[in-house]
Amino acid sequence: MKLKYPVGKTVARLVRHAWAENKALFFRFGVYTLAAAIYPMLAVALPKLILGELTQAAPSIERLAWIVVGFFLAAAATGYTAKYLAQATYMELCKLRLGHLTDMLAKSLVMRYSLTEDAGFYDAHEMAISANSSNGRGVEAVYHALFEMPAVLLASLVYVGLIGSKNLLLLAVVLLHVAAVFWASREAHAFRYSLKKEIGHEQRRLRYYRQTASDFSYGKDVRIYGFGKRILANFKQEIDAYVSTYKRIHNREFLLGFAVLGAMLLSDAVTYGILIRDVVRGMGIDDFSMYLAAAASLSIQLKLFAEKLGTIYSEGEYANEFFNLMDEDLNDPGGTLPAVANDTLEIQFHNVSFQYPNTEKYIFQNFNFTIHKGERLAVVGVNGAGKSTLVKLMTGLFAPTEGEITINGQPIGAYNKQALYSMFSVVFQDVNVFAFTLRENVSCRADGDRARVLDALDRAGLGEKVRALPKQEEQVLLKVLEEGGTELSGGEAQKLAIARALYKDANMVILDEPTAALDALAEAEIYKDFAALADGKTAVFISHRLASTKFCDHIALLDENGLAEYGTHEELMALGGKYYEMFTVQGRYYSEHPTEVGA
Amino acid sequence: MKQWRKFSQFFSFVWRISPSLVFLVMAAALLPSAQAALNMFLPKLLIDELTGACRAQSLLLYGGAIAGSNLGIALLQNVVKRGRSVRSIYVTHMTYRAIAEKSMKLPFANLESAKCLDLKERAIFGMVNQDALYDMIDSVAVLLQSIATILTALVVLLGLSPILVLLLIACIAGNLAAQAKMMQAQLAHYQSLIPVNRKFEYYLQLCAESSVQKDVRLYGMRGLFMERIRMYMQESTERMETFMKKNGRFEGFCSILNDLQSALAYGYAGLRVLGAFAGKAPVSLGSLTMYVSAAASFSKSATALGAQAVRVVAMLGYLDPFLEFMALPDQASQSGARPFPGQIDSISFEHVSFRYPESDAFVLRDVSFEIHGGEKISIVGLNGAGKTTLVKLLCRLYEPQEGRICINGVDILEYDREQYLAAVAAVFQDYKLFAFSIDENITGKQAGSDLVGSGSVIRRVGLGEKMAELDDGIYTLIGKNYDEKGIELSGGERQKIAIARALYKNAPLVILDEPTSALDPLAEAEIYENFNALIGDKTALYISHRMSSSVFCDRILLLENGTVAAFDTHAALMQKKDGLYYKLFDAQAKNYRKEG
Repeated sequence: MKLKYPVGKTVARLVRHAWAENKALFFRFGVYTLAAAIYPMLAVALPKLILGELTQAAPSIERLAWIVVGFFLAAAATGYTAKYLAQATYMELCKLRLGHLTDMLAKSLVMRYSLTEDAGFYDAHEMAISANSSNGRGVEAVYHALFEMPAVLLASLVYVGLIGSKNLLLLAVVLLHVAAVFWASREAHAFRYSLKKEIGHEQRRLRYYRQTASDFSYGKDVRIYGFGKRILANFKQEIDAYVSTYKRIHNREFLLGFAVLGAMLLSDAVTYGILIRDVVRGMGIDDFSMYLAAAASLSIQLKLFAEKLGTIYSEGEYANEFFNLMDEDLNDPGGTLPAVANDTLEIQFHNVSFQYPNTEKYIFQNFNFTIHKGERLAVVGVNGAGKSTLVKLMTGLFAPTEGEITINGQPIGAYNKQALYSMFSVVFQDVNVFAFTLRENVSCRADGDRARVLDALDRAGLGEKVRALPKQEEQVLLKVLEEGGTELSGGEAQKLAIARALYKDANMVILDEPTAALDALAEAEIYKDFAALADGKTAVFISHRLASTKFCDHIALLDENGLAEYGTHEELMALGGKYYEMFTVQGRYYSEHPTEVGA
Repeated sequence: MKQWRKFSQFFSFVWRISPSLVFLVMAAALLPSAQAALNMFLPKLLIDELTGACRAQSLLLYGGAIAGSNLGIALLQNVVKRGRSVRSIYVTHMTYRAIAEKSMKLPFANLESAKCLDLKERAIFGMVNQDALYDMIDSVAVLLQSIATILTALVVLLGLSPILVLLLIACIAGNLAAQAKMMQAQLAHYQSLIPVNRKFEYYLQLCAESSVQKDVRLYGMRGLFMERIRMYMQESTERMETFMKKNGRFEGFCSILNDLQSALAYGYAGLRVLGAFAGKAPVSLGSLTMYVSAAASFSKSATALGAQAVRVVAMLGYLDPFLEFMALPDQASQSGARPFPGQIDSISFEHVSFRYPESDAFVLRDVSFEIHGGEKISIVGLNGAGKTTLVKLLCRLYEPQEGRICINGVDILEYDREQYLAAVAAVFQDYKLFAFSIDENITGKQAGSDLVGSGSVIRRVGLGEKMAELDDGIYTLIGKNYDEKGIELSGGERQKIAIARALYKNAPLVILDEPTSALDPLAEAEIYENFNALIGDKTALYISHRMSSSVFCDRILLLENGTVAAFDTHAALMQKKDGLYYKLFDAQAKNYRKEG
């Protein structure tokens, strides 16, 4: 059989990891293996010894008692040891997996940002990502199987020796039966695998219905547009398709089952035939019962062995994928330049072209543009003109496909990545509020400074609200983790994000569509906050609300072809181009009508 | 008794979905019992023959019977397994569908209740994470099997010795007592683990959440995330370790008890073979194997019985939220009977007060106003003033605690619910599109059943060109998480489809709640300027933070803290320079006015 991946290397790496993490584990493993191998053998030995004693010419009650007591003591000791160690060691193995998981998370949080937006990356590494997700999957499943398998193997070998020395044919039929079981399960697995694509497709659809059909947030549209019947009908259709696929699989398993039944019948017939014949020829009934029990036990142990081996092979693939991911260099540490000190930023785009990875469409082509030191720049444009992409490029979240971006004259790639990130305070439209304390939410660290946090909250206009909370800045936000957690309204969340930006006090400030969901007064307040944030710094305000241009020095209007217009408000209005059109369209009902009516 | 009711509720639910599964479970239970019984009797006959007369014909018969019965039972088991596996998958998914169906039938108030949401989450959690449905069915099967096996073994063993039976029962009682104690510890352990794990899971998911990755990098949040994960991971594993060690001691103890039972059975039966008890006839070697096998079956089944009984109770605990959720009353019972006239002459709120079911604060207080048929009304107010709530009441998603809402002079609650809802087309700010084709999203019907209608509204909202660009046109599926061939639409395009859906409905009352927040100025203007033309003489309500949109409307309903602050034309409201409306309007307008 050709292996899909290097099993031996993967297992060796897992074992090395275990050895490095926990050497005591290997001692426990040794004790467990002995106890777990001996324990089931005692159940085979007991009837042999008892029947042997009873069929002696002069059976003795005393010896009988010793056999029973001896069995009990040996079984109690090995049984207890095996059972206890299996449980007590479980978490040791689990911790090995959690160690891997922690490593992976730590890696994922610093990997190149572009990968986080790349669905293809997640698809390609799905196995690696799920390798550490649960006790019964991937890495931990392999650890458990590796822990348990040697005991099973040891017991099997003893039975093989016992039965083989008695009669090789007997051994052969038992092995044949087990081989048939193993073969049938491989075949069933292969058949299931051949339907993998269909199953994956159907599961994906079912998952959608499972999540969406009972999602309460769909409730309004379901009721008002009567979508219920449509959804339930489509859902049922998907269930039926899925069930009929599984019917094919189980029918195949059923057919394969006949081969197993045949092997079982052969094994039973030969086993009983040989043993009965031998008893007729003078073998003791004690041996008869022992071999019978040994044959049954061997069959069980071998099935277990095959199962563990199968687990190591199939789940090991996840572990292998995981190691491959960990070996990959996903980080982009950037250059060696430190953050700009005591100065704000000037950002220049030189002939920049950009397309998102794995897409055809250019968002920018030969884009040339300068954001001057200390200016306030409004970036406006129609949907899809690349306003948000601009932010991702200048903060280094994405690298240009062609051309170069410089910050204060130095190529953006020359800056150390952490240093680069540290130079920007960015506020996005969708604010992430976390179930941390307010202090942690603002400072983004566990040891954020209380006074500075309160100051930032004050300047963002949340100070009053925070001081009125029972635990003030130590109040936990959201209700997901704590029932008494505080929920913020949309406007408050925006202010929290602004406080975050203020606390960070970075060299440059960017606001990306921060007002779309806010009422007019809250919107006006954000504009005020912008002034506080931008104080003396280069600042960019991105919005499709043209009102934002009012308090900016320059306006850049982007369209599908990149930079369409650039200048001051007056210049662009005089130009009479797209900006003029958008401004008048949006402002028409504010400026003409009301001033006439009002004044 | 309460447990029993839940139990029967659960099985009647399964029965309604798939009666055959219930039969298959019974069959699956009885086959191993039959096998256990055969394994007691047939080897006895064989061994007695071997140690006795040793007739070739009888040996062949008994040996053949053993092999034959093994074969027959294995075959039957395969038959049952095939059916059961398929039916289980069906029932599992139909259960999710039943939860969905229930969610659709519930009164809307439930959908915004944190309690009900939590109940549903727990109902699904039990199903998905605990596999409660399948485990429950499985446990019941093993339970039945244990009872059948115990009865058989008991008959056999009583024939040997009531004293042995008593001894075995004593062992089993010890086992069950230990199990009950362990179960307590287990429940307490998992209870204490839930909050820790919830926190752990929260931070874990946060790390995988794509929307937070920008913040993680730009604000250097990695340290904070990892610290929390390590902290809760450690707390969780420490608790688990303590518990697993305890569980190990418990399982070790059970193992010892089990070995004691074997020793007792062998020892006693061995003594009987030797005729050690005066007054009791010696038994044969064949009988010894039978008794020992019966004793083993007896203790194994009795232990399983206890374990499964405990498991059934635990599973009922997991299924409890599901059963409770499914027992919530449906909306239909609250439907009115009066046919809806199909045309709107007036809408009036009469002293309407409303607060959300789980809250003390009134969102709307004594709200009264009247809208004439065909009027276009803009509802204006600060975030939280009650605008969306008012619309929800009008859509009969909620009912007011005080006052009434009338259309054409009749309380809207008196109208037939289905007819009434057919007369309202609302686009909410959190509108949803489904992963169906664009066509289905607009019509709500089977794809392609009204291409003329859907095509016309698609063109009217300005998506005609976009459809022409798509390979599958209006049949294109929305979203990639459902089908690889689906497309992701921009926020603006999605909003336009939602508006097209409302237009398609051709209802006399149209409501738009923040319909243009994702649109750029030109697209926004296009919607506003065309909308009055699009909807013609229908009655319309708009909610928007873009104050300019109210200029298009006949009148403005100004809400302030849940009360009607004003209800007048734009021109009239702009006269009041100290009013909220003027302030709101001016806050935006001044940015568009020429300087000076």
